Amino acid sequence: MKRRIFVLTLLVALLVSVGVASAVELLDPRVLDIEGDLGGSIGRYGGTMTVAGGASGPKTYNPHRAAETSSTDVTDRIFEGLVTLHRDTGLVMPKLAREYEISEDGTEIIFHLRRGVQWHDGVEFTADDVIFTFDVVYDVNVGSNSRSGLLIDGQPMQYEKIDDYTVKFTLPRPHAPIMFSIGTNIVPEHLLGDAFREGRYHEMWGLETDASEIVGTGAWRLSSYRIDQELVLVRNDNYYEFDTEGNRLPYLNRVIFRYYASTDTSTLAFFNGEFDYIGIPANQYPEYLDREPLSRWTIIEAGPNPGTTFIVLNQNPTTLPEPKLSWFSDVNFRQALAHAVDKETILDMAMNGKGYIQHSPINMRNAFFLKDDLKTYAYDLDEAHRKLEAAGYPLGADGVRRDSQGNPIEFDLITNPGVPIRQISGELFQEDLAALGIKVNFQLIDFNVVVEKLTSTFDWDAILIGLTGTFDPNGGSNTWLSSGNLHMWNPLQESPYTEWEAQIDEIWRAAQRAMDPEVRREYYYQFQDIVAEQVPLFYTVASENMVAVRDHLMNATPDLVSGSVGTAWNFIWIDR
Amino acid sequence: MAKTMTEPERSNETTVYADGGAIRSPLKMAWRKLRRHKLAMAGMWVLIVLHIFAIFADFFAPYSEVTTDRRRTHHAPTRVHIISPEGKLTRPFIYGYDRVDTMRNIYEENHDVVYPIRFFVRGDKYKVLGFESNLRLFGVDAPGKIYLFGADRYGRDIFSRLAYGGKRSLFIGIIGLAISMSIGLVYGGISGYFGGWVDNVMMRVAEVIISIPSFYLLLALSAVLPPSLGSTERFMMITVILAFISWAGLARVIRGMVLSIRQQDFVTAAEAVGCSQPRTILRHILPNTMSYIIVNATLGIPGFILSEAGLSLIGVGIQHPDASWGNMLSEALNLTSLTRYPWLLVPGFIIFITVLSYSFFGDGIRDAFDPRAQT
Amino acid sequence: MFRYIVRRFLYIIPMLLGISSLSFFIMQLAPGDALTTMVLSPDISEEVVNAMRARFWLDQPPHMQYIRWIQRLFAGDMGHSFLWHAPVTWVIKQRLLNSLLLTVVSTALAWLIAIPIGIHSAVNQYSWSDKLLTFVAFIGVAIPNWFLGLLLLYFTVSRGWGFPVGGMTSIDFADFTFWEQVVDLGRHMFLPVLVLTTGSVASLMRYMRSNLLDVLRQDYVTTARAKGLSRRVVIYKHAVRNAINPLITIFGYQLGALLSGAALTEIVMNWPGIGSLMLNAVQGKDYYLVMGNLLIGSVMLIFGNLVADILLAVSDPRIRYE
Repeated sequence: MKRRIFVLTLLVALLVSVGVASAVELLDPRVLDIEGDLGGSIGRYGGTMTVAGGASGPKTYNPHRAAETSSTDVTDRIFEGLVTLHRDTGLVMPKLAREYEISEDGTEIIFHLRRGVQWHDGVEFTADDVIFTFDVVYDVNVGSNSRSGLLIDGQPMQYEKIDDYTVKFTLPRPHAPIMFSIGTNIVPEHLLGDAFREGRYHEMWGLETDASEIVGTGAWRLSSYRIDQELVLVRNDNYYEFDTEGNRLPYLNRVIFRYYASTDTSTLAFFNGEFDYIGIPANQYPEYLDREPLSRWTIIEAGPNPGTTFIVLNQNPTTLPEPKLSWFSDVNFRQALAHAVDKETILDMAMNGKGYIQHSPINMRNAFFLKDDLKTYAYDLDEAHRKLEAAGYPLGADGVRRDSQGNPIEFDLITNPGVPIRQISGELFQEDLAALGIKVNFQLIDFNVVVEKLTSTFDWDAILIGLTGTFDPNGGSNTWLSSGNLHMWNPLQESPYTEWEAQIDEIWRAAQRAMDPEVRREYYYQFQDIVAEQVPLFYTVASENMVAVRDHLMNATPDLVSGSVGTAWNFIWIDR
Repeated sequence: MAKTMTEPERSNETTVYADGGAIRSPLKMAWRKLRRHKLAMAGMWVLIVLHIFAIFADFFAPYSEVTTDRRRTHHAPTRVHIISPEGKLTRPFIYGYDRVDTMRNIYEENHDVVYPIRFFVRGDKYKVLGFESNLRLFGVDAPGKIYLFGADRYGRDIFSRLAYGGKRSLFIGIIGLAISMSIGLVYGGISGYFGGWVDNVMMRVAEVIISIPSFYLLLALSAVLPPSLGSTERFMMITVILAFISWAGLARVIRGMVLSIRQQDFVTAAEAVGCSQPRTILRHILPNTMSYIIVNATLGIPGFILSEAGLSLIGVGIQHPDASWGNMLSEALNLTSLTRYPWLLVPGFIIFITVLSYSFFGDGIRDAFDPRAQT
Repeated sequence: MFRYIVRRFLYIIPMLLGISSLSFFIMQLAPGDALTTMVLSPDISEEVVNAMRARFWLDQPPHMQYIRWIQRLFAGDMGHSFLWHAPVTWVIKQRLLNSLLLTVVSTALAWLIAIPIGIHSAVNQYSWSDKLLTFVAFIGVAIPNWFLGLLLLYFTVSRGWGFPVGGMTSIDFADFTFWEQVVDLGRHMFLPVLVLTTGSVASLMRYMRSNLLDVLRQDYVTTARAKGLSRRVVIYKHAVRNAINPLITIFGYQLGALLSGAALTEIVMNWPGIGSLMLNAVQGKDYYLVMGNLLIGSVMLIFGNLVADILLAVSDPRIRYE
C-alpha cells in the first residue's frame, strides 16, 4: 500500500512537471459573473466539500459508457461539452466552445473552440478531440447515451474540422433541439484514439483504471475512488474559468462523494455532520424540518422533481384483446377514469404533502413551455361515475359496472415494487375504481418484467410507471411520436393509428424545425391541449426537490433547471 | 447443523430399544418431563394463543386486512378508556381523533366524540370454512375507528393485519417444515437404506444444494417467481422455495441416522422375515428417527419464519396488500417510521416473541426426549 | 486418511459443476437480463442494446452461454459484470477482504466469548447466572441480526453514541498513521461486529453448554471423579476437550460461511462487502457476477466442511474415514 502511494505521488509529480513544461497559454478564459448573473458571491480559496453520492458510486469513468446517474454524476465533473445550459435560464451557453454560429436556415452550426484549454495531462484541447468524440458517439458499438439525441430522423450530422479551433456541423434538416444534446462530453483523442480505432473503446476507463489516467478538461480531476465508499475529486489548477476579479476557479480544493446504501444512513450521516449538503428524500422531510431550527444548516426548496409518475392504459390493437381495447381507446372512458386518480392523497401519503400535482407532460421546471390553463381532471368519483354512465358504461344493481355489451369491466394494473409512490398510487386507484364498480387487479411485478411487457411483448392492460424528465420538451420524442418505442399505449407505429396521434406527430416535427422559441412554444401549447383532451396517461404527482445545505457553504444554491447544487461546484466556497 | 453423520452414536442411543410399538411410552415420558419445564410450557401457551389468534383472524380482527382509510394515514394507537369524563367507571370506550398535523401525521383525541367499544359486532364480511359471516369480536360504530396498535400508511389497522399476517407468517413455518421434512425423510431414508452408489449419487445431489449459500439461493429463487401469481399461490411458492433450500441438510442427517439404524438387529430381523423394502423403511426405520424429527421441527420453524421476514424485508416475499409479519415490518424499517410511528415495529416484536417461544418450547422438547437429561 | 482427503478434493469438481449449472439455470428462469432496464432509458436506442447483447452473448440460448462461461472459467476468467463494466474477478476482489475482515473478527470474538460462558453456564447449571445467560442467549438467537442492526443504528444517532453509521473508513483514512487507521477501522467495525457477534455468541454458547452437560453425564467423568481427580481437573482437562470436539463441525461451517453468512447484516449496516454486491447483482440480473459470488461462496462452504471433517478426525481418534 505504502509503495503504491509512493508510486502514485511520483506519477502525480511527474504529471505536474509535464504540465508545466508544455504549458499552453490560455487565450480564451471563460469568465463567470458570479455576483450578477449567478446571484452568488466572490469566494475565497481552499477547503474540502463532502457530498452525499447516493446508494452506489460510478460504474465507469468513461463518459460514453456511463449509463447510470451514479457514473454521470462523476464524469460530468471531469469532462465537459462544447456548450452547456445556463443553470437558471436553461439557455445554451458556450463552454469548451468560445462561441458558436447557427446559419440562417438552421442547418449549419460552427463552433469556435477556446484556445489554450488543457487536458488534465497538459496536452492542449483541439478540434481533433471534438471530431474524435463525435466518431465515438455515433459508433453503435460504443453505446453512448448521447447517440440517440444526436440523430435527426435517424441520421447522424456531418461534422468536419475547419482548423484546430473550428468545427463545423451540418444537419440534414433544421432541428432546434440539437443544441440541447450537442454539448456531449468531449473525450481526449490523444489517449483514447488508438483504443477506439482498435475497437476497444468500450473497454477503456473502467473502474480498474488508475485514477491518474482519467483525463478530462473539467474543473475537477479524479484523485481516488474506493468502490462504493468514497470518491475524491481534486481541483484542476489549470482550469479556464475565472471569476470577475480574475481569480481562477474553482475555489474548493477537493470534493468528496460519500456513498451510503440507504437514504436513511446518508440522512443520519448528514445529521452527524458528515456532509456539506444532501438532497432530501421527500418521505424524510419531517426529520429535516424538525431538526433545522437547532442546526447549522438550511433547507432549500428547489421546485418540482423533473420526473413523472403516471398510469397508462394499453391501446395496442394487435395485442390487447376486446373488449378492453374498446374501453381503453374510448376517450370518454379515459376521461372518466382520470377523475378517479386521488392526487392529493398520493401527495399526502407518499411525500408528506411536499410536491406538485401534475397535469402536463412538459417538465414542470420549464415554465416557458408549460401551459397553465390546461383542461384538468380533479379527483371526483361522482364526476367519474356520471361520465361513465353517459359514455355507456352503466353501474349494475349488483355493484358491477358493465359496458354496452354487458361485459363486466375489469383489468390488471401492474407496477414494480420498491417505489413507494407507485405502490401507493396503485392501491388508491384500485380502491377508487372498486367504488365505481370496476375491478382492478393491482400487482407488483419485477421491474424487468414490466419493462419487457412495455417494450417488447406488449401484453398488459394498465401500467403504473414513471419516466425521468428532460429539460427541453423534445426529450419526450420517443414517448410522444407515434413511432417511438416508449409511445407506451401503442408503440412503434408505422403510421399514426388515430387522428390525434397524427396531429401530435405533425406538431412535434414542426416544433423541431422551428428555430424561434416563441414559435416552438406555440406548438408545444397545442400539443399539451391535445394530450389533456385525450388523456393517454393519467399523471399523478411530482415531489419537491429539496436540499439541506450547511451554512458555511457559500453559493451552494440549487439551480432552476434541475434543482441540483452540482452545477454550482465551480464557484462554491467555504466561509470559516 | 451441529449434528452430522460423524456423531450418530448419540442419537440412536435413545431408540435402540424402541420398535414401532414401543414408541408411545417414551412419548408419554417426554410429555411428563416437558410439563415440568416452565419456560417450555410458557412458550407452548404463547404459541397456542398466537395460532388461535391467526386461525380465527376474521373473528378477532375488527377490520379486514385490506380495509384502508386514506384520511387516517399512520394513525397512532387509539387509547382505550374505562373511566368516563365524569370520573366514573364505565364500559370501555374511545374518543374520536382529529388529524392536527398532516405533515407529521399527529392525531389528537377529540373529547366531544365518544365511541363505545361494542362486542360481537357486525363488521367487514369474511368466509370461514365455507360459511359467510361478518361477526367480529369487537369494534366501534362508524365513522369511528379503533386502532389498538395504530395504523399503517394506508390507514389499515395493524392489529387486524397482525392477525391476518399470522396466518401466513406462522403457517409458512409449519407448512414449509412439513414439506422439507417429508422430502428430507424420504430422500434421506432411501439414501441411507440402500447405501452404495445410490447413496453416493443422492448425497452428492443434496450436497450441491447444501453447498450453495442459502441466502444467495433464496435471493435468486425469489427473483424467479412469476408475476401473475395470486396471493395464495405466491404464499405457497415462497413456502416451497424456503423448503427447497432446507430439505437437503435434513436429508443428510436422516440418512446418517438410517445408516446406523440399519445395522441394528431388529432391521435385519424385519428383512429376514420378508418385509418389503419400502415397508422396512417406512414402518421400522423412519419411526426410529421420530424424536430427532420432533426436536428438529420445533427448532426449525423459527428459521422459516425469519427467512420469510428477511425476504419480505428486501421486498421479494409476500406482497402488499396481503399482510405478513415480514412485510409489515419492512414498512417500519426506515428512519421516519422508527422515530415517528414506532408502533410499526410491533410485528418485529411479535416475530421475536414467536421465535423465542419456539426456542423455549423446542429446547424443552429436546430435553424431554433426551433420556439422560435430568430435570 | 490421505486417500480420503484426495477423494474429497476430487468430488469438488463435479460438485461445482452441479452448483454452477443449477444456479445458472435458476438465474435464467428469471425474466429479463441485465440490459432490459436500459431499454427504458430515453437516451439509449434499441440497436445499441442489441449490439451489447451480441457482445455479451446474451442473444445465445442459455446452455451455450453456460458452456461458454465454463470454458472461460477454466481459463481463469469469471466473465464480465454488466453492472460494473469490469471483470467479475476484479469486482469481487474489491469486496472480498472487507467481508472477510468483518466475519473473521466477529467469528473469533464470538468463540472467545462463547466458550468460557458456555463452560461457566454448564458447570454452574441451574445457578442464577446460568439461567440469566441462557435466557439472554435465547433472546440473542431470537432477534434477527438485521433487526438488531437497525435498532443499533437508530440508537447511535438518537442517543449520540458517536459511532459512524456506515461505511468502513473515514474520509482521510489514507493520510492517517497506522494506529490511527486501526482505531478508525475499529470504530467503523464496532456496530456490525457487535451485531454479528451477538447472534453467534448466543448459539455457540448454547451448543457449548449442552455439549459439556452431555459429557459431564458420561460414565468416565463419574469414574474420574470417583478415582479422586479434582472437579476442576476433570472438567477442564478432560470434559471440556471432549465437549469442544463436536463444535469443530460448527467451526467448519462458520469457516465456510465467512463470505456469505453476513450478507443481510452487511446490507442493513452499509458494510461494503460481498452481501450488498450480491443483492445488487441478483436484482440487476448480472449473471456472471452472481455466478462468481455463488461459486466462491460454495467453494468456501465445501472447503469449510472438509476442514471440519479433517479436524474432527485429527482431534477424535475414534473417527475413521475409510
